[in-house]
Amino acid sequence: MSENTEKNILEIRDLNVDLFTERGVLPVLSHINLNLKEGEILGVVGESGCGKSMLASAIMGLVDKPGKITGGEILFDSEDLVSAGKKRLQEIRGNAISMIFQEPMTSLNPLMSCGKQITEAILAHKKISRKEASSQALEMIRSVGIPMPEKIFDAIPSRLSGGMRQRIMIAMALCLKPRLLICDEPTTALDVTVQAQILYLIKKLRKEFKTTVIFISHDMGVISQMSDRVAVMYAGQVVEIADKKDIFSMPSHPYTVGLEAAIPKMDSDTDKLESIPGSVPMLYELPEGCLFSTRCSHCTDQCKLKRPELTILDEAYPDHLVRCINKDCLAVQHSS
Amino acid sequence: MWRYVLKRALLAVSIIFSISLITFLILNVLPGDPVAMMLGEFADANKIKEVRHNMGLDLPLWQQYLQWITNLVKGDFGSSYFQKKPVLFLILQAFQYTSYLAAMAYIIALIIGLFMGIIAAVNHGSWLDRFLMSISVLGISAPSFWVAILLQIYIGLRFKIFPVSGVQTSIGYVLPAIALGTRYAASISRVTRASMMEVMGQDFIRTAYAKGLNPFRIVMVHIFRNALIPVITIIGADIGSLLTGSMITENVFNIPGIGKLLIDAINRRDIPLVQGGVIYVAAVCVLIYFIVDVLYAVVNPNIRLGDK
Repeated sequence: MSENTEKNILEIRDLNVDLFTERGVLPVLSHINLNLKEGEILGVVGESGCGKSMLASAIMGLVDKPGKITGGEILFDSEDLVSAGKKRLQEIRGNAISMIFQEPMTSLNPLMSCGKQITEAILAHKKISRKEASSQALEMIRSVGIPMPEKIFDAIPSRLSGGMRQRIMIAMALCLKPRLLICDEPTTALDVTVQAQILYLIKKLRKEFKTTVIFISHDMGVISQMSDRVAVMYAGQVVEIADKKDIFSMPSHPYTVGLEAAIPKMDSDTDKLESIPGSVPMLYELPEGCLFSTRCSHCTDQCKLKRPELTILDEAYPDHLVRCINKDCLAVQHSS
Repeated sequence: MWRYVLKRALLAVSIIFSISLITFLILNVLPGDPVAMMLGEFADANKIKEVRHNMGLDLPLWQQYLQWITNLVKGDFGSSYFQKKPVLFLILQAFQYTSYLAAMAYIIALIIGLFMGIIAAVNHGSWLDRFLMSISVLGISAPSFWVAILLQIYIGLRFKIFPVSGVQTSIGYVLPAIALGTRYAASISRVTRASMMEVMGQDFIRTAYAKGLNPFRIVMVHIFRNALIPVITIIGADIGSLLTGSMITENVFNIPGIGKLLIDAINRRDIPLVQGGVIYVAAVCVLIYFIVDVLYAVVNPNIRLGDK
């Protein structure tokens, strides 16, 4: 982590996002509290449907029907994005905050050349001539490590491989040197060797551009490579958040423990893959008490009564927050 | 690109040839002897035979076809049995009226249809969307002769600005163009809306928003252009059907276009004119689809690349 850890570039306070559907109002995100320090990489991990991408959309101001932000604040540089007007959000998007998506194959306009798509992003925020913007775009294509950038500039996306397209997406996201970059599973659709290159590229460029990063993934391995801090999400809530080393050395929430146990290990003898029994509850059938109670092996009667708060587990680790009331099971985790 | 165009062009020519063969066969198998119709009910059998011989109708079918197709290639479509004028001349004459009417009708249809479709798609789910789409259902369902008659009664006769019949002046085209264009405007608006909605749900539109582009640019540059392929397809089909004449509208407004010409020719078993007409219709359709194919490639570079 960098030295100037004092300043929070992003503060999410008690954010709620609901889906307004025929089955009623469903909480996709409930009571999200996150702080992001300037220059760090926050990993967000969780199963499919836990609200990771919705969190990204909320920060980008792109929550669309039937979803709606129903409460809370997203303070970016002390400016609340939830109450900001459309015009202001448009100014911020792609400029101060930008985003890389999961699907490089479909996230680029198939009819527009790669160079033009980057140029367009630059022109949306800078008052410069088209020619200048083009040359900046070309420079950006060069800096994401694409061979023959002049040729790729004029190519339409279908000529490029998935990895190349993701590089174009990265070039597009970083062309205006954003202060915050949200990566929503940027390597999930890529094969492993390309994944490593892309991760390396993101790390390298964000250092160069001094960009703060939110890195969303369901892959604990990728998260451990990328993050300074990790937030574990489950069914629309953050269940545990801590520095990376704490999350991996002393996972405390039963769900985090389960996630880590599910990472296949080379040195173990067993052929069996570990998994967490059951699946994420549907939003319309969330349990009354702790959201993880339906799958938790440490679940007690207490757990089924009330939703636990995100609290500091151990005064010695003030940055390690856990959403679990079962001190017994937590203690077990800590000693092991 | 040129390879693609050449391939499409060859395909077009071969389609026209096949159609010429099929038309020729069908018309010669159909009942009804043109010579008997020309000479009237009480014609003498010898006289009929003589006329048939003069017209080359007693030759074997394949010779007749060969003769006809060679002349066709030379630009000679034969002469109408009844009007005693070259078929090509009659068709070109009618084409002037039909094409003028078609152009006016379709320009009206395109402007209204695209506009309605885009507005509806951008505001999908709102009352405005529902209102515009109800209008378009009405437009598609209303038969053009009914629209034509309404226009004649409520606009033509009441305000006396637009003539209700004939096209001596170009202002006479206004009402027929509206009557004819209504249906096309309605179907263009629906296809545009559906196609745009599909594009709106795609990932790259989210990317466009994430870039902070202004919404108008997103709609026109990213959504509309990607939604254009299905729209071009129906535009092609529509122009094809417009140029081959609209029998009903042309009849209601008394416009001597292709539709009227062909209906009359069919009723009188005027075989050279019908054959020429069918070839004309085929050629127009094939030409339009050829242009559409080329346009696809212009709009979507992926298509011409896929053709390699």
